[in-house]
Amino acid sequence: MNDRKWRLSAVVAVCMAAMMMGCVSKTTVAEDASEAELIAVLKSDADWFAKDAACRRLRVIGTAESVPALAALLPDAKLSHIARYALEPMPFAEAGKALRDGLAQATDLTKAGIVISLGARRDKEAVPLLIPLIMDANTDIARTAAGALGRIATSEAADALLDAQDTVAISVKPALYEGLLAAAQQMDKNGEPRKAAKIFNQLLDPDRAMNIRMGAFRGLAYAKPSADWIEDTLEGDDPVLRDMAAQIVAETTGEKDTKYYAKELPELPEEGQVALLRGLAARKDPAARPAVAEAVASKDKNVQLAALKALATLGNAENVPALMERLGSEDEDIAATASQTLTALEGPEIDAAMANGFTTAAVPVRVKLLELLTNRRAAQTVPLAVQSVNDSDVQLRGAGLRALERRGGQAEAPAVIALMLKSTEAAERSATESALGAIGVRTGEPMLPSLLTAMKEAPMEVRVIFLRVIAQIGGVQALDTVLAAMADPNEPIRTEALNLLSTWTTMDAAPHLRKLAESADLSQQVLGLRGYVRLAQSETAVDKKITMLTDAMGLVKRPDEKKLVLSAWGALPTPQSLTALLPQLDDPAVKTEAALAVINVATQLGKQSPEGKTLGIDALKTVLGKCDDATIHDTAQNALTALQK
Amino acid sequence: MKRIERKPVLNRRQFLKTSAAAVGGAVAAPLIITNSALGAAGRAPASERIVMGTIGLGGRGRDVMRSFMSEPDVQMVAVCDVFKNKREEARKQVNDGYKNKDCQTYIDMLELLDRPDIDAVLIATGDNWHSGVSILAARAGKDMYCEKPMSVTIAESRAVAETMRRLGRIFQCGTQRRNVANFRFAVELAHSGKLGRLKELHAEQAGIGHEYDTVLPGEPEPPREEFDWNRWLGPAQWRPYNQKTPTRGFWSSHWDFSGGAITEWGSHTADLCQWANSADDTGPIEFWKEGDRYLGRYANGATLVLRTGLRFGSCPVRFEGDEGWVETGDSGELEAHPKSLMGEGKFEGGYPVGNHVREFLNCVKTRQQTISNADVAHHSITACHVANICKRLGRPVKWDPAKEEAIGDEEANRLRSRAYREPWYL
Repeated sequence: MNDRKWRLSAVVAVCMAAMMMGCVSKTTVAEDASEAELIAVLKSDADWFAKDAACRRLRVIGTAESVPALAALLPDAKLSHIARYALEPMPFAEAGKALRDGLAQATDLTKAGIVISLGARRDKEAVPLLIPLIMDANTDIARTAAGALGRIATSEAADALLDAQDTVAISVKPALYEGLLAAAQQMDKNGEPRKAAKIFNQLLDPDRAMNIRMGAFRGLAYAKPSADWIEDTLEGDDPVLRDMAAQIVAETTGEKDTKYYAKELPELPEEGQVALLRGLAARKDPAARPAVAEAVASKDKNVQLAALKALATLGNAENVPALMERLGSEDEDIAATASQTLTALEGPEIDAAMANGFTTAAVPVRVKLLELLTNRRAAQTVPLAVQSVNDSDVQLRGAGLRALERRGGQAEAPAVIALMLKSTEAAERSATESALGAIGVRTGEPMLPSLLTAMKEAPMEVRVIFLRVIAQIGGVQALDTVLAAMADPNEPIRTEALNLLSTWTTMDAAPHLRKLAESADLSQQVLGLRGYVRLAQSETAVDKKITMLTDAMGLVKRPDEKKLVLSAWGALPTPQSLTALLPQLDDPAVKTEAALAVINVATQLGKQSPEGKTLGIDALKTVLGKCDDATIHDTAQNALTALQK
Repeated sequence: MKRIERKPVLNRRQFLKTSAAAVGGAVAAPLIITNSALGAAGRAPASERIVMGTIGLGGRGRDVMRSFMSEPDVQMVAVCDVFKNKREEARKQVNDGYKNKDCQTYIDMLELLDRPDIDAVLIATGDNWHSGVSILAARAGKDMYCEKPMSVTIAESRAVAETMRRLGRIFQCGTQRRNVANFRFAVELAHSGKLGRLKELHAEQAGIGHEYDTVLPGEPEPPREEFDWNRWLGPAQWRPYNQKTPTRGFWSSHWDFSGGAITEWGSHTADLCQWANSADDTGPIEFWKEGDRYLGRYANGATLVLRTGLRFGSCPVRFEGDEGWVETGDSGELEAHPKSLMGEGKFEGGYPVGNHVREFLNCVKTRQQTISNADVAHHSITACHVANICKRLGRPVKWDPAKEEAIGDEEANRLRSRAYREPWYL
């Protein structure tokens, strides 16, 4: 074997090792194969896979040198495409010539493929060869030829397509019309708008398919811009072209045309106005604003809606009063659209305009405005909300409370507290409590003095509410207040204070809860213990948690609370947990809960360390020895088996 | 200027609208309008309904089809796939959904596209066919919602964009995160200037891709009724049938059928970065590799970073400016710096596609452009494709986004397109 042959063998070597390992790749070529070696593969009797791989590589690195070898594959139905795959993107004239020459030898689909590549290359020299193919009996060839001529887009190509309109096979016509559209577009781009417009005009024929007409319409609108013609179409009764005209309005620019459209807007029929308003909205030219603002007053609802929507992009502060008026419309669509537009309009001047009209607006409008201003984070929100909570109208007070719940601060607390003191309705008190709680959480302890002062003069039921708000704020002073309230002479205050203490979330309540758990009063005892265990569960330091749970275990008096503590131990995988849990297997009242907790702790411990595994296995064996319940037994056995693996 | 002649060729919806109006007035000729046509409870009347077909019925296709079917003004009437089992499952899904037996199945999408009653199609084939079917659908006069990635090459998505404009079609690319609240919030932060001047736009790619162009050995080809191999290959290079080739695990990393890891998620994440950088009509001007990352520099100085390791579930993005940053992903979680930028934004996770579907349907009715229209999606996927060219050639690529060509790198330019297998053409 000479060097060249040896190298060729290496280049096309089958990946035997890979195939033996189950890799399914087939014959390939070496990644670093040279162009000469790849050409040699194409010329050799190498199999299809090797030639396919060589073409792929030549697609990137091939020079004019490789063109003849690739061209030789063009008539081969199985390799023609992969040869085109390499030839089509080559920037060399030789590649184009090879494809043109290949046409003569190729037939059927292979020929269509070469036509496709000539079109993709926009090969002007191929036009005379492609023109007769539009009439080819093979419709695949005819279609691709029409497409290729449209893509190449010379005058000769376009004329040929125009000439063939009436004579090509019906199945080829869509491709021919699309080819004409493509050609006309390219001509327009190349600075030949008059020729392009001529073709577009022909394609607007109502007998053409709608997509061709729409394309022609768009093409004409760009090749020969005319606002008058666009307006004509908007006035017309063809809904598809009307929408297309609106889209052209949206895509194009120019104040002069905008003013023309704006002037014509009221003269259009309803559908035309709606479409034009949509187009003007997307065009975003402020010159259209006055006309759009006038359209808001249209008698036609659809026009009104379209105008209101358009103001979202075109409107300014001057339009806010009209939008606010629609905000109060009895028509839900109108009101909702006005609301959406007021949301969309940006800028402090919009906020100011909304705030300016607030006081004189009807109550339902003011309610909506407050929500909109809140959403907009407008600076005017808070003062208007305070003004509203002092209003005599309950709906407005509610809106004010909702706004202050989201935006209120310490300065607004007195107004809300005052409303709470005045209010007698449960629903309003509830809304006021929500607002006060949210303000309190945002403000923190600085808000406590005003609440504590208010508590002194508040009726009983309001004192209870203030106490809840104070607890929500939290902190040392709040806890002291709640603790003091537990000694209040009034029973409702004491009950609420007890509830609040039992759900306290910070550790400073722990000693008080522990003390409560020792109480002789059963309800205090139960609530205290539950609160204490809950705090123990939230403790992150394991040693402290163990101390608290051990402590709690000593305090329990009833099985229900013992189960609670056992459950907490069960979630803590430590040896001390097993020490606490295992004796409980002898208590019939909590045996099941204790067993489940032991199983969980043993399983988790077993995963931690060899010592943990030993402890876990022993504990599970104890469960198996002491528990007869079938479910517990199975669960423990499964856990034991898993640990012993 | 020639005045447009108005002899409208009515499509199905226009015909029904006209007919329904006629029913309301005095009509001499008898005309039967069924309950279905006038709209049963919860359904839009037929004149307002968009009749649809779905092409490509894998898991994603059926999921998105479900979203379409949940819209009251959509009537799904046909499904198409080269796999028999997928066709049958989808037919059952449609018929069960509507409680009828009306759904037709097709092996050949051209037959589905030939139906004049169909207004729009959902395209959820493999990536290899996305551009090709979109163009065929446009030629058939349909509007379309096409799953991402839009294309396998730059030339394909350029052709799709040109075809949509040429034929006046509505196209929505399935980059639905443009209509998902947390991603929109992040983009709006970037647009608002609150992040300052944008410096880096991070786009997660679907892992570190190891793409290939392996051709598998031949196996006996199944009957066309069970699986249409030739139609599955479509515009891609012919090769003998092998049962592994049409599996997603294989083709999604194969250069003949996909853009690999970068386009898999980059079609979403790079798209969001393009949007955040107000670059929907352009793209980076050069790409290079640093470690496992592919970086692209925009003319405005911002850098697109295609990478892995961002937080918050699949398809996360991170926009960094000189005054702040924001990061979010499919989990719905969003973090921003400074924290005040986050406002009250609370978002749900998941992959909601409903808003994107709805926007498409609205645009079909009004002929307005969608948010992920073909031009926008083309520029986004082009950024991914140029990164892939950089990856395949193993060298930096300088890029002219206006001309859509590599500067001084002929090999790079050859990778912008692929010759379509006959009879398919762009």
